[in-house]
Amino acid sequence: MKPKGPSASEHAGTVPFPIRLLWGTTPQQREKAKAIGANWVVVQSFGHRRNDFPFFFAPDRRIAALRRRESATEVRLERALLREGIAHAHRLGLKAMVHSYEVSLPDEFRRLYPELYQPAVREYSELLPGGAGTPVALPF
Amino acid sequence: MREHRSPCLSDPRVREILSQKIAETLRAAGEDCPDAYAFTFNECLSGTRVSHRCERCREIPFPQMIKWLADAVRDGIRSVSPRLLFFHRTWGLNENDDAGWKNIVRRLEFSEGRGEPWLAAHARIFAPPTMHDVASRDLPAYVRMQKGEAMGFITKGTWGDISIDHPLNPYIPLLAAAHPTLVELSWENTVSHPRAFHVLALQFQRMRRLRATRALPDWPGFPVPGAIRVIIRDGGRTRGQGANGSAGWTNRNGGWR
Repeated sequence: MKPKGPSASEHAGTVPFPIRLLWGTTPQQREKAKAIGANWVVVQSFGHRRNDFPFFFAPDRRIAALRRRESATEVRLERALLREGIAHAHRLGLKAMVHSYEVSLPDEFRRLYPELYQPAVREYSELLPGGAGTPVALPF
Repeated sequence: MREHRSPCLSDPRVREILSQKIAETLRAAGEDCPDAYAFTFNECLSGTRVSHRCERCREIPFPQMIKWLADAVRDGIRSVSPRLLFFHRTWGLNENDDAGWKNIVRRLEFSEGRGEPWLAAHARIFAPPTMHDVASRDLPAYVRMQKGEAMGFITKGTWGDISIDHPLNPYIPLLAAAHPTLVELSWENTVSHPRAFHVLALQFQRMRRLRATRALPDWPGFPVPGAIRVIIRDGGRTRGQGANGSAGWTNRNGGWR
């Protein structure tokens, strides 16, 4: 079926797009973004791996201390990736976007502040063999 | 396996932590600050998804829960810089209505009750309309709650990840009518390059038919290796200065500041 109106190729280049974004979390992807005419890149994405956060969480001394003790390597790595990604994008003339999956918090919060973690609704939790808080495979 | 507990967005302390986390993330970038921050309410490490229901929030409408999260993210961004653009990527919220709870019900039906033990309990307990999220009900309501906010959306071109079988994401016009909206085309490693190119072309055609885009980018070099999450479009309108002094959104000729 023939699409109505001008074709994509007829439109291309005639109407400016303010954002042409490519997922560019590696230098190669960012350079490719530049090469194909993108003007934005997603330089980093957090919250998708076990501990991919670039912070110690300074507002809370207990969390920060624990993360400095146990997650310093990860934090330094993530900070370096973040800074290098932004700097590289800007050097290429690209705008830099940062992305996160929510609601993601480092495991230290679960250990130090379990009260922040709520069990599912009462009638569902009661069905679990050990009651609320029982380790189970999450169904949803 | 993990504990069947997760942070609840109805808890102001959780939201404050999220704001602080994002602020520190942006500060960690140093002097070379990023230009935009986007978040996705899905696939998180901590177990909280839009379907979350605990005793704290069981009576709270899902759009309010989504809005609370967006507010927390925005507050974190704004505490660092009012100039950063703020995006909500709607992956996880723009599914079809057969996903989520109804999907559990269907699994129960197809297994004739012989499925995993939790299926029946889940289907029954989360049956009340207030207990399970429905995209066609909750996403439009959430978008209405964001009216006037200086923000943009990123949304997939189709309901799911790249597939010819997926229909066009029907929420694109809804999002784009109210806010600058980027349409995302995922071209992940599940499809080889020639085929991925074909799928992308189909997605572009579908979007044009729905008038979701006014034009398509002319990108020489397609296909490129790796994952591509695209982009396109602002709404073509001029939006004023953000209410909180943020950069606001300019028209397409001015670009996004």
